[in-house]
Amino acid sequence: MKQILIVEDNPELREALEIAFTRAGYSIFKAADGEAGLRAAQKNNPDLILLDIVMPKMDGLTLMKELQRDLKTARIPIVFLTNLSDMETVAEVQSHGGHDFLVKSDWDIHDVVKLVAKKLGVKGGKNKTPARRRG
Amino acid sequence: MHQEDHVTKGRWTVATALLVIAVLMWLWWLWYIARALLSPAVPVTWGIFSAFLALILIFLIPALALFFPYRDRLSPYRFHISMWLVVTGLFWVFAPLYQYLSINTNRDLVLWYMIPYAWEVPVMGYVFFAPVYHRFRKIHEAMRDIRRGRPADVAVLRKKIVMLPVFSAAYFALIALVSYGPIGSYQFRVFGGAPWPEVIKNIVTGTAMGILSGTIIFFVLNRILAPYLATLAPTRDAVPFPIGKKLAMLSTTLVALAFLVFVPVAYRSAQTLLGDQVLRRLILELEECAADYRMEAGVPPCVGTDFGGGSRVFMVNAFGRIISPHPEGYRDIAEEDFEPEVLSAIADAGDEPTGVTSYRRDTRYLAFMRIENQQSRTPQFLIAVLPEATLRPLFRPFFVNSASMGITFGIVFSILIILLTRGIAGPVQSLTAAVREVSARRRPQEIRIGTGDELDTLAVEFNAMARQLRNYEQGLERKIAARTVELAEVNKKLGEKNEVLERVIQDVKKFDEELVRLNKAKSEFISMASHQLRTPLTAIKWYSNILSHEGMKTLTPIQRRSFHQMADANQRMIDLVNALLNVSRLEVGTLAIEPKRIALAPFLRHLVGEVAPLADSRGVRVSAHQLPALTLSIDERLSGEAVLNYLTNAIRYTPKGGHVFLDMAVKGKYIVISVTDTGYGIPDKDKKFIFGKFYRASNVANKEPHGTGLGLYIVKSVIELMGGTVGFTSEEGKGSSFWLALPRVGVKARAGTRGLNPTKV
Repeated sequence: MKQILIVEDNPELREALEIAFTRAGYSIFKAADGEAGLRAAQKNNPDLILLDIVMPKMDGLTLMKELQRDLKTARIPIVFLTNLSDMETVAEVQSHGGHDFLVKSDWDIHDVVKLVAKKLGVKGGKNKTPARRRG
Repeated sequence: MHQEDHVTKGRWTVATALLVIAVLMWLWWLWYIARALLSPAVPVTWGIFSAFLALILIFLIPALALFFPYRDRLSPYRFHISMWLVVTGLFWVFAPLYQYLSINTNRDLVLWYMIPYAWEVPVMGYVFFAPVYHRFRKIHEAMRDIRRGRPADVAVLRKKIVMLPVFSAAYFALIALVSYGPIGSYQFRVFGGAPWPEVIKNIVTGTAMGILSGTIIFFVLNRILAPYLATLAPTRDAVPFPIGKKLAMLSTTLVALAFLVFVPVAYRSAQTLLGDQVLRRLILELEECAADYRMEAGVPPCVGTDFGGGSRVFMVNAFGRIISPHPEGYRDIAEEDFEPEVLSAIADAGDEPTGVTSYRRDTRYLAFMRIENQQSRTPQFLIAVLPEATLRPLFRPFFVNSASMGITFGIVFSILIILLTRGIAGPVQSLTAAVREVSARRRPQEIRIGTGDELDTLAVEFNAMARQLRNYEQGLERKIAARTVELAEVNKKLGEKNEVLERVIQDVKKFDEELVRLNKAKSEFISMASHQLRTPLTAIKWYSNILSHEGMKTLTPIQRRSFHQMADANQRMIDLVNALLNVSRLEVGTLAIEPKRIALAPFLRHLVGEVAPLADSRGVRVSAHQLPALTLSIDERLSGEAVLNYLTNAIRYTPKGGHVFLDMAVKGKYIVISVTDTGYGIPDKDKKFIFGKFYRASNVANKEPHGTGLGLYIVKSVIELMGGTVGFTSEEGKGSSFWLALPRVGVKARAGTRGLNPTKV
């Protein structure tokens, strides 16, 4: 069973993601801020990290850089889930490796699950059409 | 014409020939005169004189008459010809007249005196009078020009005035030198006697006369021309005729006058004195001789003797024959020896000796008396003759005395004149220099001359004027200072006003900056608020996803419907938030444009594919017509969003079974993409506002709840930002056609920080 680390400061969104991914058959770890997320990543070594950007204590981009420093955690794929949509952030993210960048409000939660499944190469969930990458 | 030419030519030839002959006659006359001068045997009488004159005139007058019609042709020479004629004519008229009326009463002597002038006066007269007349003409012309207000050459005029007297003085001196010099000496050699005192006397006289006449001419001219020269402004250049020079001229003239006065007067007085003395002596000698004679017979003892000084005594009988001394020297006393008056005086002589001076040929003193022959009791005359020439050496002391007196007088006078010059010119010069200094502001003091004459008065007046000027100047300076103070005040006030203006401008700038800041703040607020709003909206979306995933079957139809309505409303809110974010980006101007050259046909077809699900779900057919193979450099995302907006609008506002077409064409400098539908159309009253913010046409508001009213506004802003245009045509109930035009040259890149949020299809 694949392990997903969810780093999101908003509790409702965090819970929704947990429900959806648990239903899809993933093992979930949660973190409510950047620091907790970093510890969780180092401790548990998940298969994928869902990362918000605007967070207290440490924001998503800094966390990404921290993870890249550690060899253990550098190769973990990251999917950014955010509500920011400015070019600077996108550019920043893309310069550090081709991570996905999703605007939360534009994606159905199950489309997010499908994207994750595709990324991990898992036969989970209805995988009819490849999720469109927007943003 | 030809005939006239011949006539005129012939005339000209004849006139020239006659003129040549007249000139030859004249030359012959001169040659005759030369011969007569060389040899006394050649007779010179009035008859010969008249004959030659007649000969000349016989040829000259017709020549002139024939030349008269050609006066135009001769006009360049007119001056010279007329000058020659005038001079010669004047000479032949006045010279004989003068000689005749002078002391020499013998007509033949008149001719003799005129001989040397016969050649010299016409030539020299012409040489002198021609330039003089020329100068006078020029001066006259200059005067006429000045009178008429035309420009005249002042310097030349002045020079001509100065040169005239110099000229005349030189001429007279030259005449004197020539006529009284070599010719004169020759003349006198013919008649005997030492010529040199007379010659020198005449030369000096001539020169003096020349200088005198020159000065007179100069001053007269200056007087005449003064009003003309006064019209010309004086300059600061070298003074043309300084006072010193004028006074020097005057003094020279006076010296010359002195000579004129002293020398001849001295000479004449010496002459007279001596003459009287000589005569008296002769008379005494004769008396003695006669007294001696009465006592004896025979010839008086003094006959044939010399009383001294080269005198001769001789006896003449009643018929005028010299009886003693035995003929040598004189034979008969004839007319050529003495004038008729002298001879008759001798004939009337009494017993007492009388003296007389004879000027025939030579000045001679005579004393004579009647002596009765003791034997024959016939009247005889005793005559003592003393030529003045032999006495001439006796004149020397007188001459020297008078000359030295004249020279002394001249020197003294010259010194006085120089002093006078200094006395006038000196102060004038210093006055001029002082005036110059004052006018150049080098010396503010006053001028003092101290000569005690009119120049002093001038200095006083000048000082007064300078003082007045200074006062005026000071007054002006005071006024200027006052005005400057006023100006400074005004300037200060202006400066203050300026400061106020500056402050106002600064305030305006601050307001402006404030406005910009506020605008930015507003947009950033919208941006931030939108981002914040997204979180709860996302939560709603995801939970409704989960809910629907759990299964709708357990819900009643109403529950199911409520759920879907909620989900739809939520999606609309998300769309609105996205649209607001786009608008805020457009308004703040942070939208980035990244052009890339793409093939338009596949790009548009892909977009059609994207809207296919929506079209299918609403039962509207979407098709793209024959799309030409064009490439264009555009921002793919922005252009895609715009076309998508048109497509989704078309699909949404077309009822079931309708049709939407996508076209592309080249129109001039643009590529136009248009989306046409068979939908509801746009009412006329809404057409103006259709691209406006938050505007939804009145006829669709209740049919299609999805629209935000921002879509077309965003499309218009984005396309126009890329350098294109948008537009539409529509008819209510029939359909609409929305188009956008992009420039064929491509879209220019634009730096920015944000992109457009994609609209959800």
